[in-house]
Formats: sequence, C-alpha cells, structure tokens
Amino acid sequence: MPATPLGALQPRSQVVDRAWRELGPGLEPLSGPGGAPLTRAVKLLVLPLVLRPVLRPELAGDLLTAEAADLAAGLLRADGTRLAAAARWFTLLKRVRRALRVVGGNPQDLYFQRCYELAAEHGAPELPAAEETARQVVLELAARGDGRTVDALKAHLRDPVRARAADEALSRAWEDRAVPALPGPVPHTDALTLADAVLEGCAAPGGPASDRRDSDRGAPSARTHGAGETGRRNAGGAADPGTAEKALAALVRDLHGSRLGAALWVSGSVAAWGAEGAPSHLGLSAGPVPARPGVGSTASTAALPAPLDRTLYERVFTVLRAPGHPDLPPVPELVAAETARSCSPLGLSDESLRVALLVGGRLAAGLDPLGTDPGPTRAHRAIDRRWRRESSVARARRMTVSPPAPRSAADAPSGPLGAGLPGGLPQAGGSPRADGAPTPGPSAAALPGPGTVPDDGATGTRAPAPPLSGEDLLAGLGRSLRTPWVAYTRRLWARLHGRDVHAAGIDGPAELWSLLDGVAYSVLMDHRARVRAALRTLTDTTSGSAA
Amino acid sequence: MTGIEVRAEEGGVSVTVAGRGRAAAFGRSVLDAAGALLTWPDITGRGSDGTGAVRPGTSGGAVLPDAFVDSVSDAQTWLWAVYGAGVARAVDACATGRARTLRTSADPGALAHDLHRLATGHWAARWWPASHLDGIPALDADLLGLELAALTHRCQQVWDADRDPAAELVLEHRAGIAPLIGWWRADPYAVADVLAAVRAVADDAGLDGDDLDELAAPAAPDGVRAPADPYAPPPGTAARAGVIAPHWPRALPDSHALAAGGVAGLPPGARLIARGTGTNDWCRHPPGFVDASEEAVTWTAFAHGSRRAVRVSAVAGTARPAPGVRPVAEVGADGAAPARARCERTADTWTGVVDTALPDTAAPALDVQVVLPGFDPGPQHPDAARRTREGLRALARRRLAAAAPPGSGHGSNGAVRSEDPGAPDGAGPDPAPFLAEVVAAHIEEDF
Repeated sequence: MPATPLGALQPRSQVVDRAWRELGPGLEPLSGPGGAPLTRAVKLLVLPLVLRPVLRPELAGDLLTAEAADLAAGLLRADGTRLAAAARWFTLLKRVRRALRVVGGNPQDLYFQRCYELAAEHGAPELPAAEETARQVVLELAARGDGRTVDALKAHLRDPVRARAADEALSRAWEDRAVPALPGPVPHTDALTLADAVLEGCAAPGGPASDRRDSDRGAPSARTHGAGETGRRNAGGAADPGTAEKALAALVRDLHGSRLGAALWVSGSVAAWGAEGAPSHLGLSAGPVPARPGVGSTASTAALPAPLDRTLYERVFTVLRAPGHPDLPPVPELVAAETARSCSPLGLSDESLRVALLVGGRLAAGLDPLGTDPGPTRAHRAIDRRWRRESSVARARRMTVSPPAPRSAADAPSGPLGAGLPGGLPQAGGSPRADGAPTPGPSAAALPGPGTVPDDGATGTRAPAPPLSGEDLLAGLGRSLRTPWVAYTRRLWARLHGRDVHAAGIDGPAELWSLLDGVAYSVLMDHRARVRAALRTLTDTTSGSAA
Repeated sequence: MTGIEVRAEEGGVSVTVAGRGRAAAFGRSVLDAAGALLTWPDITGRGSDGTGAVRPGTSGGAVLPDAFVDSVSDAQTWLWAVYGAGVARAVDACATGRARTLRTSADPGALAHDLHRLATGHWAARWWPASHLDGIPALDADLLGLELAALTHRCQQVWDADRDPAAELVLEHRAGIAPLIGWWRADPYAVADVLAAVRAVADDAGLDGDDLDELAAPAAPDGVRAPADPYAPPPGTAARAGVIAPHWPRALPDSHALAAGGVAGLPPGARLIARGTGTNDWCRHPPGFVDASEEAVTWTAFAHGSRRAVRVSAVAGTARPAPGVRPVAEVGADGAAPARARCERTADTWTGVVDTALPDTAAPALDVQVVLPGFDPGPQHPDAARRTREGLRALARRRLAAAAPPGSGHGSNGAVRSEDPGAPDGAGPDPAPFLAEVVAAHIEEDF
C-alpha cells in the first residue's frame, strides 16, 4: 500500500465542518452557536446516514485522504436540501412536543433520525398538514415504551395472585439451583490465570481499546497510510491479542462464570481475588451468602441494595429505567425471565456475561487508585492511570476528599482529629439535599448500596441512623477509594444485567474491554458526582448561591 | 503561532504547549473534553508569581490548553478546531505508532479562545479569592454558572455527545434564571445573549420546570426584541460596554468584624506569649469558608497557669456552612504533629483554642492553619502556594478592573486593565469579563 504523505490527510470532522458550513443557512437547528454541526447531528445523522462509512471504508478513519475528503464533501452537498428539511422538521417537532407537554428523553436523540426520514418522505414540512404529522410522531415516540414502564410493573405485581405466583416460581427456581459442595478458593486458580491473560491482552495498544464507549462509527478505522519512517508500534506490544481471545474462549467454554456464581451460593468459600479484605462475592451481596430474592413491590434508585440482594421488582425496575426499554418484551415476560435469571449463577443467564463479571472482578480487585505501583496487567494500569490523574483534577477543581488514613488506623476511634474535640465529631447537620444528588443515570443501580459494606458510607443509610454530615460523607468517599472493587463490580453487574435482559452477550476481548473501560469511566464519574453532592451539603442549601 | 509537542505516552497521547510553567494545582484549570483531559497549567497566564514573566516565543501560549488524549478517535472530532489540523495529524501519527514525539505549531482559533474563557470561569467558580480584607468582592455563583452554561454551549463540539455539561450547569444554577430574566427585562441588551444561549441549552436538552418554561417565553418589555436568537454574538460583549446591573444582591455581608487575635477572648488572667499571622491555604477548605486574604488567619499564644494554648481566629467567608459543619484550627510547632481544635462561628469569625505544648522561646514560630476535615487534602509547600495565591489575587483584580466602568475604584486603583498596552509582552489579554464580575465590580463601589 503506498504511503500517503501525512500532510495531505485531513481530519474527517474538519471536512464535515467545512462542507456543512458551505450548505448555507437553514441548518441552524442542527448546528451549534458557532455554526458547526451539533455533535449529535454528526453522530446520529452525518456519519451513519450521509457518509455511511460502513459502505465506504475510505470514510471510516479519523483522517481522510484528499479523494476521500472530496467524496465526503460531495455526499454532504448532495444531501443539503434534505438536511435543511430535516432541520425544519426538528424545529417543528420540538415546538409540538412542548405544546403537548411531552417530557422525557433528549429531543435530539429522539427526533434527529426521524426528522431525516420525514424529510425524505415529505420534504420540508408544509403547514398545516405537517403539524398533524408532527403530532403523531411526537405521540408515537412518547408512547413507544407503553407496557414497558415502572407503572406497568407496579400494576403487574400489585395483583396478589400474580405476586404469589412469582413468589412460588422464585422458590422453585431457587430449589433447582445446582449448589456445589464446599468449593475451594473463589475464583478457581485456573480462572484467575485465564482472566489475567484476557486483561493483559484486551487493553493492548493498537488492540481494541480505541473507543471509550461502544459507538456506531461503522467499520474500525481503515488506515490507508503505511507504517511511517519515524517510529514503531507504541509501547512494546508483548501481549498477543490472540492469547486474550483464546483465554476468553476457554473461560466461556469451561463455564468458569457459572462456577464462580455457584460457588458464591456456598458459605465458607475462601476469597482468592488477590485483594486484601475483598469477600468472594466482591460486595455483590451484603451478607456472606446471597439469599433467595424476594418479589418486592417498591424500589428507589437512591437506596438499592447490593445486586444479588435485590428483589425481583428492583431488578426489573432498573432495566425499565434504562435507555432502550421500549425495545424490551412486555412486563409479564420480563418478570418471568427475571425470575429464572435471578436464581441463576451471578444473577445472569448468559455465560459470556458471567465470565465478563469474573474478568471484571479480577480487574476491580487489582485496582489501586491511591497507589503508585504499576498494576498486574495492562488493563489495571490503564484504569489506575486514569484514577491517579483524577487526584490532580480534583485538586484543580477544589473538589477534594481527605486522603484516607492508612488501613490499620482507618477505623481507630481517635484519628488525628480526636484530641482537640471535646464533643467528638459534630452532630450531623445538613442532611443530603434531595435535589442536589446526582441525577440517577440508567445504571445508577450500581451505586454502592447503603451500609451494606463497612467502608461504604457514601450513600446514606436506610437504618434510622442520623443523617451523615457532609464531613462524614466526604470521609466515606475517601475511604471507598481503598475498596475500589465495591463500586466497580456493582456498576459492572448493572451493565451486564442490562445486556442480559436485552440478550446482548459479549463477543471477544475488544467488546469486553470496551465495556470494562466504560464501567471504569462511569465509576469515576459517579465518584465525582458524589463528591460534588457531598460538598453541597457543607453549605446551607437554603441560601442558593454564595452571594 | 504556538509551539506544540505531541508525544506518545502509555495509555494515550499528550499534547503540550512548549515552554510553559505550571502553577500549583489551584492555579490550574481543567476541562473534560471528549476523549481527553484539557489542562491550562497556569490560569493567570503570567507565571505563578503574577509578574508576567513569560518565556519568549510563547505568544498566545496562555490560551491553548495542554491535552492528555486517552481516546484518540473521540478527540479527533475537535482537535483540529482547537489546535489546527497539523496537531490532529500529529496525534494520529503518535497514536498509531508512526511517531513517538513530534513538534509542530498551532494557531488558536475562536474555539480555543472560548475554551480558555470557559476554563477561566470554572477556575473563578471554585477559587475566586473573595475577601473583605483585600477588597475583592464575591461573585454570584448562579449568575456565573449560567454564563458558563452559555459558554459551554458555544463550545459544544468539544464535549462528549453522551454527556451534556451545559444542561448540567443550567440545572445546577437554575436559581439564577429568574434574576437573569429580571435583569433582562430591565436592561435587555446586557444579558440577551447569555439568556438566549441558556434557553437554547434548555431547549436542546428537553429540560423542563416552571423556571425553565419562563425561560422559553419570557414576557418581553414593550418595544424590546425577545431573546430569540440563540446564535447571537459571544456573551460578554454587552458586559464590556459597562452596563450596570440593577437590583442585584450585594455580594458581601454588610459588616465584617476585623480579624480578632488581640487579647480579647483570652481567659481572664491569661498571659499573652506571642501573636502572629497564620497560613491561609485555600486548598484546605472549600470555597467561601474563610476569607481569602493572606491576613485572614491570625493567632495568639497564651499561658494560663500551667496551660499553654493558641487561640486561632479566621475571618469567615461568604458561604453559610450547614449546621455542624465547622473547620478545625491546626497548630504545629517545631515540626511536631499538629494539634487541632474545632472552631466555633461567632458573627463573621471562626475561632478555635488549641491546647498545645509551646516551645520555650520568647517568640515561638508556629504554623497555624484552618482546615476542613474530610475535605482537606493535606498541607502543601507554603512558599509556592503563597506565590500562586498572589498571582491569583492579581488575576482577580485585573479582571475586576476590566469589568468596572472607567474611572471607578477598580479601574483607577493601579490595577492593570486587560487591554493595557503595558501588559507584559506575550501574556495576551485576559478573557473578557463575566457578568458576575461586572456585578461584583459595581458592588465593590459600595464598600
């Protein structure tokens, strides 16, 4: 392949930006204040529907050759009228949405692609007929999730007959579990060796780790330029992605995920994750052994128990609150499937997802956000690096938590503070303000649960204890960094559970790493949001601003 | 043109503006871009001592951030717009292993200037050195937050499409919407562009609520255009015209007791040993807990019978701590582990009495600080921190001067105006003032 001179390549986003501006007026509803296309317009319209790199690999990379740039600009030019029509539909849909008082969801996410379809079908909207079309579209999209809502779940399980049936079904499924005899170390040594191989290989540079989140960018970057003269592959490359692939396949084939899950049903198992203080279930349950799930009838995103302690209601509730719920089967089917799932190993039915929890658990147990030593695998090092950068970010943002005391002194009653405090710690004052809490995202289910793990004082308690003061909240957040596996495995479980409900297993190390890395990123964002919320409780919330 | 070094690192690619120093952490500003962390290593742009000592050849060097790119394909959506296509190509080359280090140059465009202003605003939201003692008024947090939301919206192409930091800011500071609309009714041209941008953010994200509905269709005063145009010129242009904000709340309480620290407050019969000024390390307490002046923390060491103790006073800041949230006074002597005592709030002062062994000298050298446990990240190097604080106070004064009407207190007290031709060569002008700074610069006149 002939090497293209570096200087001739143009960033694809720049090519799109320039061509977009040349389309002239009419695109404002899809553009930012400076005239550039909105990020979502690029992600949801320009790339998947106009440039379509899946069909045109030469447009798939971040940098384009001159010919590819011409092709991209031409495609946008040819679509200018349709995009302008889509922009007018978008404005109309937003107006109708407000008039109908429809709320929920981001209008750009909901309507962009639909507007593009409407533009193909009708051209620009022509009033008054378009008004009715817009009404139908807004209502139809708003009704998409009907029958798959928390209300439907509530109604379903409120019926005493159905609730009793669910309870009996849970009992039967729980009895039918294949509980092993006393297991050895959990997880099995072979499983850990294989997990380490996966973690070493999946995060290798040049490997699958280019995108932080699963995205619809089409084909992976097709680099049209050959190896340059200036350098070689980044940072060694001792890990062979093929090794990771084989190790992952072996874990699935030998049912190591199921074996891990079944071992957690037996009391007396010995945790072998390699992290001091980590229980064999890594905090997925509050007790030593998870009990049979209950049916339940309520849930609160702010106070969800540990994953394996959640009721049937709580498990279905979390998936109904997540994006994508309109695509799920109706509630009765969801409840039936969840009954079987909740009595399966790790509360998951797909083996590749159970194995993902095993590999992710190994990752989480080896994380060391506060340390300086290099972690055991590439994946550990990649995630530790981000956490370690975070401490300087927190300092720059004046959003710090006190560094936790060393493990030994952690729970000593008199820390350095003890001596000078006649009355001990101040009585809890500002209770966490409800509206100041971070907006619970779809997977907020994975936030560490209340009081279930000794070190996890971050989320308030359900017990009638006094509300935690901001100072205690901050100290708890600082301490939680010493047990990073708690937040990580809970967040991971929630993601895996969501995938399981959507029947989306994990195929290969690339997809696994994308997930594991994305979970690490979310946990970091959760941590930030909690620090922010805790800091807010330090000031009198009745006074609004500092003025 | 600005020299840029692009380098392959473990886990990413770094983009560094050549020849810049780094301030202490609290003199930096950071933003999360899609696929990268952006850092302005010295938000004053003039060296951490604030004297304007900038190395040669770094013209425009304060505007551009350093970047640590950890997801190259995410970052490729905006790298070219901030640094130019050359840097975008260099990042690609380093990410794909065709180069380890490349030197190139960048020419910051409009987006880079907007980002720099945003970074400055985020710094101000957390570190603005509000001080009664120093005559630096506080900024209205919600007004600043809404203007930052507007600016975040202007920079929309830089953020991750799955997160919307502008909408988060609008929600967090929605308490400022009603006053902003009130201001707009009284003086439409001062705030129309910020209001229009906030409205566009709420509209794009589908935010709702009574205050936001009001934002969607505010009743316009007679003969005034509605703020309908979300694509208006940059915010701040009106603010620079010197519009006075009517009816804005005062930014500081009416009265401040001067720092205590005299003999008053000592137990009867106590013998004064020494007094001094402590260290006011901003990093060890949250915004608004303690007046930001270097003189805000004072101490008096005394003897009372066999007791030796230090009474520590700190001028309180503008925040109202929640009940029970009190900083502690920390006294260190001779390198021993510091002793601590919880402070009490009386009027505008925090006071704590720390029992501690005192060295047997006539004038003990004590290290006295006020810190909030749970928040406090620990002590830092005192001299570097003091220099950084001085540079940041100078930045605040410069910004207030630029925000004040000509001939007013801030403009005429010797501070350098941002457009002043006497500004150090290469330092460049500071980003345009924020509405909250304009308000503060006017309120300051009332002292």
